Amino acid sequence: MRLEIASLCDLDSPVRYSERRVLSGDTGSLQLSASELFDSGYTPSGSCNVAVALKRVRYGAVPAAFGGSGWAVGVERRVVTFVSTD
Amino acid sequence: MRHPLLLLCAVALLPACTEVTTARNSNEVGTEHIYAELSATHGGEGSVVVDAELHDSADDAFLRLTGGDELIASNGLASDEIASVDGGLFGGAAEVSNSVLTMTERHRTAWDTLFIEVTSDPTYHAAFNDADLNRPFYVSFLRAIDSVPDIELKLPSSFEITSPSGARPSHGRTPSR
Repeated sequence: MRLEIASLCDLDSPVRYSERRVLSGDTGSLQLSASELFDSGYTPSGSCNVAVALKRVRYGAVPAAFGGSGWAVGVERRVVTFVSTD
Repeated sequence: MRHPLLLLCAVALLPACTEVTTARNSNEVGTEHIYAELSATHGGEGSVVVDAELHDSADDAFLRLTGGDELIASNGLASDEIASVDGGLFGGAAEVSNSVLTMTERHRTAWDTLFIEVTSDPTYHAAFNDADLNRPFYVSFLRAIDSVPDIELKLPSSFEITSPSGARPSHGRTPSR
């Protein structure tokens, strides 16, 4: 299993910023600070609708009959939203 | 994520974007040449969404189900068990109808950084509104040209987000796919 995070900043315009990454380890609990929501160092300017999705992913196998292989996963996903401020 | 030939359209130019069909007919590709991507996703409330993509492993082209090929998703019933219930006990059909769904096609559209991805890629989808989370999900690929074992999808253990002060937990919004 692994943990993934996807973060999005919606500036109420056609422009959005988003990114996603894999978090190291799944120890059963996790505390994220605001600076960790966007790993690239992106900082929203002004007020921004932020959505952060955390996913716990469980990997399964694709039958060998699929010669091209692939992946099969079960996902628990939770989302938190808030409005950022300067 | 695999993007064989997607269109990246600057937002301002979106109305000018046109779809380019890159999908191939599934019944023209043997299972031994297919790459499958499947997921079962639970968002914290009752429903579980099962998604599937099939690709030709030679060039990553998306496959559109044709020629009698079908994807069937079930909650807790493998394909051999479905056949057994359907032909067996009185009331079995109702049990099957609640936990077995034919996956339907929908096009993949998603936001990415500063761009909108507009694709005509066929993906397949089924939503279980009252899923039994303790039972696995299965996807059966029913084909006329060969036989394929079920693909099993098991959910990981559940978790919750403890929100900081002022935040608003939500299950209804997906930032991107």
